[in-house]
Amino acid sequence: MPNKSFSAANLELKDMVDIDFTVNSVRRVLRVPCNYTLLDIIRYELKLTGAKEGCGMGECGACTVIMDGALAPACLVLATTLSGRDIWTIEGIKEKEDAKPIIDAFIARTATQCGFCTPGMVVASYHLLTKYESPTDEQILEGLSGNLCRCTGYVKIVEAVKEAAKELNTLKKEGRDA
Amino acid sequence: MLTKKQNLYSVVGKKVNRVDALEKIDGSARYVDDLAFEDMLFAKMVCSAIPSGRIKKIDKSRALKLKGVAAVLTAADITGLNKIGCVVDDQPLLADKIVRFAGEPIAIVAAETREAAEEAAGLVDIEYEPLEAVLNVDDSFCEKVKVHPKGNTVCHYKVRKGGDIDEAFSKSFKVYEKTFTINYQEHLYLETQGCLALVENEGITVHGSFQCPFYVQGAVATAVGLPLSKVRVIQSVVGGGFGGKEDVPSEYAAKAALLAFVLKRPVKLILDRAQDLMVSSKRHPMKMEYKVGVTKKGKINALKVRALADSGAYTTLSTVVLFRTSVHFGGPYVIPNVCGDVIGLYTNRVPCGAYRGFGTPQVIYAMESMINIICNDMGFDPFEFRKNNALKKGALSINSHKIKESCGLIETIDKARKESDYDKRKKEFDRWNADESKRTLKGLGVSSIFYGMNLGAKGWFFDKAGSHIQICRDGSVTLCVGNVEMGQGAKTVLAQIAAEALGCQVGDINFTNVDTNIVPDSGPTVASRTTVMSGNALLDAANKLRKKLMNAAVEVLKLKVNQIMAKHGKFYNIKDSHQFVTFADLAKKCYFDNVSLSDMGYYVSPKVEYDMQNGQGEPYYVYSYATAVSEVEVDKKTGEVHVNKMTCAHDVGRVINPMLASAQIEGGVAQGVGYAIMENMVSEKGHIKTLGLSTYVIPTTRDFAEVKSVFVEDKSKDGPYGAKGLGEPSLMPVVASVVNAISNAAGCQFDHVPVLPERVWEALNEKKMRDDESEVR
Ligand code: FES
Ligand code: FES
Repeated sequence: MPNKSFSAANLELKDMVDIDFTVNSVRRVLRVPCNYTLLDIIRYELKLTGAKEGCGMGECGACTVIMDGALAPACLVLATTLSGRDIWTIEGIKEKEDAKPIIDAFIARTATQCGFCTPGMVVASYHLLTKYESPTDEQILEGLSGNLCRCTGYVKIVEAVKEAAKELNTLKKEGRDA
Repeated sequence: MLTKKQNLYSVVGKKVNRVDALEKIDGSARYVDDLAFEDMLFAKMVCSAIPSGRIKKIDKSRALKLKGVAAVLTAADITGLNKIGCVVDDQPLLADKIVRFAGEPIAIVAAETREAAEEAAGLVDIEYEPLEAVLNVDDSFCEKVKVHPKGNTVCHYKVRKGGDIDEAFSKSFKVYEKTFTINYQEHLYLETQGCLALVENEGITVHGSFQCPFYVQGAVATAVGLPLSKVRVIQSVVGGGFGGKEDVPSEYAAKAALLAFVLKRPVKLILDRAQDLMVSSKRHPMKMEYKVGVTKKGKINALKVRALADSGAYTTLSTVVLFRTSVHFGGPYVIPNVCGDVIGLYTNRVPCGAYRGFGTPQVIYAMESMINIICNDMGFDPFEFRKNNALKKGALSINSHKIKESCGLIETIDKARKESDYDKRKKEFDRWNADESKRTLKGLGVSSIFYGMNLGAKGWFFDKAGSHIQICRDGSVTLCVGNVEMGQGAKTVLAQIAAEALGCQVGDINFTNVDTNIVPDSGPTVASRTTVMSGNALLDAANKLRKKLMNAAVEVLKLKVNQIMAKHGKFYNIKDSHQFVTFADLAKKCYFDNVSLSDMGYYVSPKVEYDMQNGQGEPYYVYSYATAVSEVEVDKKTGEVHVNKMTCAHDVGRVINPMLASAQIEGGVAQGVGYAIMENMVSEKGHIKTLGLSTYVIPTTRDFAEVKSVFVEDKSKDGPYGAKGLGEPSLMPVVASVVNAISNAAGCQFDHVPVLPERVWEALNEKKMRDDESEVR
């Protein structure tokens, strides 16, 4: 229900907010309506549509991004709080060297079906694997518990994360040995 | 061990990666909300605030005054016909004078921004005169208040088999009776309903998240008032359907199309989660009265069933969903005497329709619960009892369908027992449960199912599919079919089938999303029919093209047709694999020889004969079968249940891709577990209260269950390479086996689903009191 005293349709210039932040290591200076969320900004202003809106209420994880090193549901982050922040979306993460084993494992394990949860799931998995080198089952289940998936039953997603962890460790070891 | 024939296949039966995996994983796949057009407007529906009443006045003036609002349309503004019913004509596109459920769309707003549309929707003032609402099946059945003038019965399916049912019960050794109830289930596809309509070439083009682009085409044509040929539907990537995007998207697409047609601008309509939960269809709640008679030897000799289904305010798909209920209420068993009544009833609640399993998980839960009760009471082994009554070749189903082929039920029962290590686990669990110091109880539950393939007797006239294959001169291949990829893996499995038949590589194949301008009407993407229907349609086209390629290969290799084998992009000499010509070279040769390498395919489901009066005949042409075993753990202090493991043995004919098949099963298990123990849609006085994911709770990784999938491959003669369907069977046995496991752990049969912790806790306390009392005595 829209608040009676606030009309999103009748926004005026004073209701716009200037933000200056970084998205996927690119500095962005934008003027957006003050009621915009981070999800609105990345999807509609920046056209980064990898993050999805499954609920708009912080309950599904389809919009998951990394904000200042922590997972965040983009749909709950208000534009007014964004200045100075460092945001990573799937579009930026997928280019990273250490995300490749995750993407490969998701493909090899069929860890996606309809795919709507998947970008968020990959972001959460990436975050998990930067936190733990060899996560336990418990840590994987906990780390992905904010991301709903209606298609997979999570079985193949958990398998993919384990496989990616193994591959990342091998790569690291090779890097050290070289 | 592989048979010789299986060995011949190069891609069918293999673990091929999903062809659409990367775009989904890296976020580049385009769902409808990711599309945008110049000058696009955003739409929002205005929905009824009451479950039943007359619309006295609709005042648009406040909404129209809002900045950025382009239009507010009501029933009076519809340029075509105000009707949307997919099977029966009882539903308006926009409510006119009467509303029949809370959430029924009354008006539709278009504005320059999402925010303005949302705000304007709240400013459309509607005055109602409330009428008495019918809120449950019992009230509906007695018809004191009528939801529709014609009465409250949506449909009534009868199954009458064998002799007088009461006489049959009098001959039973024991007779068991119980009534079960089951709540809604919401699909909760992660992508909410959505579409985008625009005016193009004097017609309408619609993009969106659909299971049935051809239904959408029809609905848009009717609502806008255009011939079908002026309505083009192009499928976007679909973020899950599970039945929820069968007929329902037609309602939204028709509204968006109407706005686009009137305003001559692109219009996007995406439902927010709360509105989606409120207005979109659900799985039918049911009340099911069961009576089962058993002989001393453990044969079911009589079954009487009366199932009342809450169809909600409009028929939508109830007549076809409940037809399936009437075929599946007795399970995959041989029962000589059957008297069944399945009745769909109107209420002033949200319409119910298609959901994975299509009216069967409810009655499977009831029937398999009865079997659990019987086995526990008479001391039968749950697997032996099922085997003893199981359908097999030559036996008659409850509809007197004589099973002729592809029936692996008994093998699924044996495999489920073995692969779940049932006997060992049972002993362990008995020991565990006897130990009072343990905080939990553990239980095992079994359930078997069958599932009629394709649309069956009630929908045969829809049961066709088309395809189009074009081989380009560089040897790459374009495929187009009329059934959609919605996550189930259709594109991959169909690419495997086409690659096998053509002799090319899966990687050579490109899929065009369904486009009603390219392929003929292929019916809906439902009933687990895509592999069989689109697969056969592709085979039809591929076989024609393969002949031409083969002719070219004969010329090049100077061999006879029977001396050449085609696979992995090469046509070989069977005796000498070094002598070959590539698929690409053959394509080039055909091009320069002016031989067309583009063709259509078409397939029609085998015809069946059925007597609707008595529910006897062949309701479907063949069945898939499955048996599931669940392991659950119940917290004695809180009543909370965790499903630890499921073992699922499926006979789906030939498995085209074992990795995707197990992925389907795992997803079906999670949805079934949610339905069994946590998904509780609360509806009060006709208003759904659980309008978010924190109140309508689905499984998360915290509810993770280990899933073991095993296959019995009893090939079906009409399936592509012997395949049958799996999409729905993956979910169907889950609820029943989980509830049986909880019941066996708690020592009482649960008669309502979902089995919530509070109910389990109560049941455990009641049992403790009973046990204490008997000890005192
Ligand atoms: S859309 Fe942000 S959590 Fe669901
Ligand atoms: S793949 Fe569909 S929701 Fe996860």
